[in-house]
Amino acid sequence: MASVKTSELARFADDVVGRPNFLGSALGKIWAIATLTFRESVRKKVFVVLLLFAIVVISSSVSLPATDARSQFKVMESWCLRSITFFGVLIALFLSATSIPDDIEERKIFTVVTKPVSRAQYLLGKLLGFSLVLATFLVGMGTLSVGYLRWMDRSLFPGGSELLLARDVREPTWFEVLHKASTPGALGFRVGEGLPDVCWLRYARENQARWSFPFTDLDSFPDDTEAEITMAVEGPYGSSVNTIVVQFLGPDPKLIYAPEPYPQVRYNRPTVVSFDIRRLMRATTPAIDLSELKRPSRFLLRLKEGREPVARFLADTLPPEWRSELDAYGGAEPPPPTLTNTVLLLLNYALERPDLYEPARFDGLPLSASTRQWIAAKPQKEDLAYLNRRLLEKAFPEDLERSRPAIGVLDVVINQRVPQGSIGVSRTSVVLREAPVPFGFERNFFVSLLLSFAQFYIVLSLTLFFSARLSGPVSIFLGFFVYLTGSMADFLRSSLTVVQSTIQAGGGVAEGGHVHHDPDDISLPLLKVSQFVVELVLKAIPDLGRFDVSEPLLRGTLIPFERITGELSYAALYCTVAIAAGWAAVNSRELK
Amino acid sequence: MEAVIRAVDLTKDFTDFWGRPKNRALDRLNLEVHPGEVFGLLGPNGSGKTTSMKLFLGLLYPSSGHAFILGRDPTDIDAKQHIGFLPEESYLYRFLNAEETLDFYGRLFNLPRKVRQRRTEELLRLVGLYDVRKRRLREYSKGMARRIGFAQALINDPQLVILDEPTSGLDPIVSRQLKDLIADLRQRGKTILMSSHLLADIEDVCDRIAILHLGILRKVGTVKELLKVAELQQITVKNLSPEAKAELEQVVARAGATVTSIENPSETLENLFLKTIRESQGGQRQDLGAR
Repeated sequence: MASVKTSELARFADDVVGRPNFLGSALGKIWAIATLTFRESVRKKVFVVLLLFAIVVISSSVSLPATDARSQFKVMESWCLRSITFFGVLIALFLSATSIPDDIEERKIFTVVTKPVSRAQYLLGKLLGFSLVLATFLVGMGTLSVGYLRWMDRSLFPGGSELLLARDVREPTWFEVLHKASTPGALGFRVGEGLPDVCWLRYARENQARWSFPFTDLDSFPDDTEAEITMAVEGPYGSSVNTIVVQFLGPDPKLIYAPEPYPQVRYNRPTVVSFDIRRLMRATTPAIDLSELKRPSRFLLRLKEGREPVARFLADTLPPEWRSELDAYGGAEPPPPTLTNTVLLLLNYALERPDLYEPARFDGLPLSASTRQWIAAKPQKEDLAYLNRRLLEKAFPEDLERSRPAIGVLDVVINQRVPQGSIGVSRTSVVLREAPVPFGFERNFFVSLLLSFAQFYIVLSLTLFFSARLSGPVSIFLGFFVYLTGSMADFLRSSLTVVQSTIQAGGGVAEGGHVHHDPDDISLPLLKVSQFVVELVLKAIPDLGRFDVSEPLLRGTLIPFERITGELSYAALYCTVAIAAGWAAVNSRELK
Repeated sequence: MEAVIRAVDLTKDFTDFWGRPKNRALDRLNLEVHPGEVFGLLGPNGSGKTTSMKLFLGLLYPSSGHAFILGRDPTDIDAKQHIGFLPEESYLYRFLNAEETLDFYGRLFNLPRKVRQRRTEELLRLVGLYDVRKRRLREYSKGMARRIGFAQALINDPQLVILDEPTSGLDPIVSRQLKDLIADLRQRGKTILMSSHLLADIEDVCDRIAILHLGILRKVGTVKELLKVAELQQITVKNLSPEAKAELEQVVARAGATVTSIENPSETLENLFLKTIRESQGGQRQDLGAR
C-alpha cells in the first residue's frame, strides 16, 4: 500500500466529479448498474439450471402422445411456447426476488447508494438488467424453438406441411341457424349478440347453419383464401371436435384438410356435412357519375387517342358529331361541360352492353379468377351492369373510381346430413383465412414471446416491489402466488358468478312475501366472505390470462395488431404502478 | 469554516415489526467534524458508531434531530459526489475482478473511461492489488477484500472519507499501511471520519476522537487531551538491579507515593511485529505483498 502515495494520485478536476446530475449522467449510472445486474444474474446457478431444464423440457415434447402427426405437431408447438413462458416467469421470479435482498444482506448496496446514485436509479438499473436477462432468454429460447419446430416439421412431414403458417383471419359478422321448415333467417343470430355458445344442428330439425362475411371488393379474397371450419360432430362414429379446412375460391372448392376419423366429410356431397359457398357482389348502384371520373380531361384524351382496345371500343360507339367534338378537344382544363356529359352517357351506356367483354379486348388486363367466373356465368340485366362496371374499372383503373361500398356477402353454409347425429357449431366456428404472410409463423411466435415478456415484466416488477421490503424466499412465494392467481383470473371470475348465483338462490325460499333463511345454514355468510375475498384478489392481481396468445398461434392466424398494443399498454400501466410502489418501498427502506 | 459533518440532537430508535421502539441506538448526538481533520469514533461494539455513520450517509433516517454532510442533507445525492465510504465487512460483487470492480464504481460517478482506467490502476497499486487485479473477488482473502473496499471508497478522490472499522480483521502490517495512508490523505487536506473499537488505531491517526457508549456521546476531544492521565508518571530505566529496585521503592514510599508496577517496558506488540517483518524482508517490499 505504500508503493504509491496518495499525493501522487491524479487529482480530479471538479469538471470530472461533481457535474450536475442531468439526465445523461443518470442514464450512464443506470446502465452501469444494469450491466452489472445482467452479469450477476447470468452467473447465478439458478439461472443456468433453469435454462438447461427449459431446454430439456422443450426437447422432451417429441415424446408427447398424440393421435396423428398434425396434432402431435400442434401439441409440440404449444408445449414449446408454454414452457418458455413458464421458465421465463420462474427466472424473472428468482432473479428479482433475490437481487435486492442479496445486495442488502451482503452489504453491497452500501457501496452503491453512498455513491451519487439515487435509489430510483438503483431500482431502474436493476429492472433494466433483468430486462436484458429476460430478453436474452426469450430471444435465445425463441430462436431455438422456432428452429426446432421447423426441423421437426420437416422430419414429420416430408415435403413440408402447412402448419407453420400465419395468415390474416376474417370473422363472420352474421351467423344463423336455420330451421328446415321456417323462413330463412328466422333463427338468425347476429354475431356478438347473446346466443348459445354451441348450437346443435340436428337432422331434420335445425339443419343448416350459415356464416356471412361482408366484403367491399371481390379482390380482397385472393384465390387461395381458405375457410376453416371447426365443429363438434356427434354421430354413429362417436364424437369429436374436428377442424376442416376448405379452399373454396378457386374454380372448385377443395378440401385441404380433414382429420382421420371422419373421412366421410366432403363438401358439396350429402355424406355428413356439405358446404355451400355463395358469393354475392353488389355495389349500391353500378351507374357512373361525374364525381367518379377522376380527371375527365385525361380520360377524354385517352378516348380520343384510342390506344387501348377498350377505349377504342367506347369511342367507336360515339355518334359522328360527338366524335368530331372529341377529336377537336386539345386537353383544355376544364373540358367543355358538353363533352364531359357525353362521356358520362357513353360510359353508362356501355354498362348495359352484353358485348363489352371480349377476350381479345381484355387481354393483358389483370382479371381475377372470381371476375372470370363471373364472366363465364353470363349475367343478365342488372347483374350485367355490375359486371361491366367492374370490367371498366379494370380497364381504366387510373381514371375510374372503384364502386362505392358494395354489399358483398360471402356465405358459408353447413348442411346437416347425418341421420343419427348432431353437429355443434358456434358463431366462431368459421373463419376465412387469407394467403399466408411470409414468415408469419415466426412473427407470431415472437409476438407471443413479446407478450410473454410483458407478462414476465408484471411478475418481475411486482416481485421486485415485494423484495424491496421482504426477504428473498418470501418474495418468491408472493410472486409465484401472483403469477398463479393472475393466470387463473378467468377461472376465478367464472367461479365468482357461480358463488353469486348460489348466494342468490341459497338466500332462502320466499314464503308469503318474506324470505325465509335457514338459521343453521352457515355456508351463506361464508360464501359472502369468500366472494368478497375473491373480488378483492381479482381487483389487485394482474390478469395474466390475457397474454396467452397460443390460440391464434396454434390456429395459424396472425395475432391482431390491436391485441398486441392493447396487452402491451395494459402491462405498461400495471408495471408503472408496481415500479412506482417499488420505488417508494426502496426509498423509504432503511439499510441497517 | 463550516463543519464537514454536523449532527444536531441526532437520535435513532430502532423499531420492531409493528413500529414500536425497540432500542435507542443513538441518543441526541451533537457533533462537528471539521475540514481537514481525522476524526475517530471510538466505542465498544453496539455503541452507535455504525449507526451514526449510516445516518450521515443517508442509509438510515433519523428518528429525530438532524444530520448534515458537506452542508447538505444526507439523502442529497449531489453531496455524495465528494464522499467515499468503506462499509464494515463489505463483500462487493464477488464475480468481478478488482479492475472491473473499480471500473464499475467509477461508472457510478460517470467518470470518463480514460480517467477510470488511470484511476483504477493508481488505486490498485496504492492498495497493493495491482498484481492480482484480474483475480475474482470471491478468491480474495479478507484482507484483500478490505483493501479493494478501501480502493473503491477513493475512486472519486473524495473530500470526505468515511471508514467503518477500517482495520478490523487486518494483519498488523496492512493495518499499519492503512493508517499511513489515512495520514497521507489527511496531508492532502481530506477529512476522514473513522470508527474503531481498537484504541491503538484511533490513537495513531486521529486528531480528535469521540467516545460513544450505549448510543450516548461520552467524551470528545483531541487524543492527547483524552489520554493524558494526570496523577500517574512512568519511569523507564536501563539495567536496574533487584537491590536498586528495592531502594527505588523505598524512595517512592518516602515521598508518600506507591509503586503500582515495575516491569520491563515493552514495545507495543504491533510495533515489534512490524519491525520483525521489515527486517526479514530486508526492506525489499513495501507493499502488502498479495500475489
